[in-house]
Amino acid sequence: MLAAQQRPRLIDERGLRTDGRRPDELRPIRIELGVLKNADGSAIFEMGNTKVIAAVYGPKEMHPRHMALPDRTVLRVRYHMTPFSTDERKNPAPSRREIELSKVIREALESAILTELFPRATIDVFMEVLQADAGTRLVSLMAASMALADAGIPMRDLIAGVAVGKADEVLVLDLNEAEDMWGGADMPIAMMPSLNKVVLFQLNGTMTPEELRQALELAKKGIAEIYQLEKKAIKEKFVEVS
Amino acid sequence: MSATSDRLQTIVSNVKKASILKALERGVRLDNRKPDEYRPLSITLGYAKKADGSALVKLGDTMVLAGTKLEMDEPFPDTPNQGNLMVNVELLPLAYETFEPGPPDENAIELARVVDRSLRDSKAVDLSKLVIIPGKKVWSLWVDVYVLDFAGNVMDASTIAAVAAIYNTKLPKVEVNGEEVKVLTERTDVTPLAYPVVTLTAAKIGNFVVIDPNLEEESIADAKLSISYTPDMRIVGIQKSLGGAIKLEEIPQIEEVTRKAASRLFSELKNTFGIA
Amino acid sequence: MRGQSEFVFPGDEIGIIEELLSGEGTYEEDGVVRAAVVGTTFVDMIYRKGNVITNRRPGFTALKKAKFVYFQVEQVKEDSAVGTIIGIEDRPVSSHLSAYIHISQIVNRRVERITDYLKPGDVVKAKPLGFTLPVPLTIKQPDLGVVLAKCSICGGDMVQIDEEHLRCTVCKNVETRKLPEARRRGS
Repeated sequence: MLAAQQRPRLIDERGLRTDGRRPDELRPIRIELGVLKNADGSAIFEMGNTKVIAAVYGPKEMHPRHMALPDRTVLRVRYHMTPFSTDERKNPAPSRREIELSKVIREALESAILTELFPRATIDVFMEVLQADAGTRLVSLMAASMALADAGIPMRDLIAGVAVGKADEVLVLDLNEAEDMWGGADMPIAMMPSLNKVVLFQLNGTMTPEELRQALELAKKGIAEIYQLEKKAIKEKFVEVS
Repeated sequence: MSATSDRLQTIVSNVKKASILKALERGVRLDNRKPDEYRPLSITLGYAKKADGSALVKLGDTMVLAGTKLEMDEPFPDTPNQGNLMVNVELLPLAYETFEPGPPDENAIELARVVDRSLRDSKAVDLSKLVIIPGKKVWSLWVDVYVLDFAGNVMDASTIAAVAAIYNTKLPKVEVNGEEVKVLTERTDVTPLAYPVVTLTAAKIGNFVVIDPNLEEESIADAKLSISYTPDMRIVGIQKSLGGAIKLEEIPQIEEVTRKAASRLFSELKNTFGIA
Repeated sequence: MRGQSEFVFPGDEIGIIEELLSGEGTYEEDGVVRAAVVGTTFVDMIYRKGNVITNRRPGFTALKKAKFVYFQVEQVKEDSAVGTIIGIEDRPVSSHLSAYIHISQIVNRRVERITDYLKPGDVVKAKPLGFTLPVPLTIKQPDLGVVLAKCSICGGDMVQIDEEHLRCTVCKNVETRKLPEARRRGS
């Protein structure tokens, strides 16, 4: 895996991607809520071969007390990859990437959770990437959103997100690993769809301002699709229990 | 683990926040800037004489010093014809009253990674120029950005400092004898910088958007959107930060403002030290 | 405005502020009342409030519908007994949950010394009075009071000998506590 790789062709003559998808097609999604007994809420979220488990504990009292906030909840968020989630073993110690993504995901959750309701308390959100195949931060954020819904923690909206990229200059929805590695851009974006508000937004790679606008349109469509699947999974869980 | 912290939240009283908003309604900011105006910028090249390249940048009261160091290394196995680029950012304890000494926290790490991505993804740093013997010996370019005075928008200041420090770096002359490399004391006039990159940060405060927020504006902002550009106006990086949400349709609107500001910033950089 | 007993998700519109106020399980922003949790709608036409009902009680929100909690006294101050909730009904609480019993919430008469009714280390069956941190509790009701006490002299287990007194099984020391009233036969 370490030898210099030849850049593969990402879009074939029929306009299909390396995994046979059309440019605007999402990978298969699988969502399961309430998978852990101890956590207040939990979920497993899969998108293609990316699989993440999330657990939520809280609201509970904040310790140490001096770190509590007088007017809202402290969110403690940890994004972490298991050593066996990637092709090469990933050192379990938190990497700079995991630290940045924990912050980016926490900030996304801050927009959604009604933190004013539980001052001086804390809510812990833990996400563990079990299989990494591009889009891990978004799958983790969505797993967390499902876990929060499972727990019954008040939020403004569910969160749905997708990464838009450029494969051979074609804008593609929901990057796979090859497109992430060899493509020209990777734009993860997550929203609270009912409110039309963006909670996570990054770009690495390059895009023209025009491509950016097209990418946002493509993302909006993908997010709407994922949102419906999230609601379906929630309804199945909640109706099954009652 | 990332935890909500109060780091900047309490420095602006409700009275101050109200006056900031009131001024914005009239289209001005408390320091008399227009919403799309950035603070006075000064760049001093070669400030740290022992660095291979350096730049001291002042953006308003924010002060950042970047220095580069070149080390001879082996290339990574999967990129035999490229040198290495490492970017580190430190928010020094001397930069703000409540900063503690210690390894870089999530804010410093985020800054470093965003600056790194801007430099790398834009190809502003030409890693192929750092090759000495293909597949065997390359230069590793260490860029260390030290924030000396934390007064708002260290992101944009750090990018300018890193770019200027790299521009100020001249690769040493080398003598290659087969596999042996001797580094001479003279310098070439080759810099690893192909062209500059700038980052423009916009802060959303209520329904208003301001470019280059100062510390007070940053502490009451709902969200920040940092967008990086190359001189030919390609977008080479975006990072949304802070815990507030932005409406989807606001993003292209903000991008237009940052792009215009980027264009002005490039002109200024061209005048200052001829890079563009 | 949404109807009754509809299944809703966080973010779903319940109604606008002109028609409805924001009730339990909802929030209001920009004049719209929306669901904040997964649940079923309950539109209270009397108080004109939109609510979303859920059976989920994460973390200390379990206090909201709790008939009683188990509280362990850590410290007795001049005006209150301070400690942590160790169980909410039959659910144990794993992390510290600060709570207190104010001197006026022990019995329906004037209390000179809290330690006549509660001592550090006691486990008390109490009822929450609110849901802020620290949680205010009361033990005034007859079915509330100390359910586990250790002798303050030797630390031995104590047993009840009458309505207000406990005796240590080890050193025979007698102490007073606020105890739950014995249940009447047949109830």
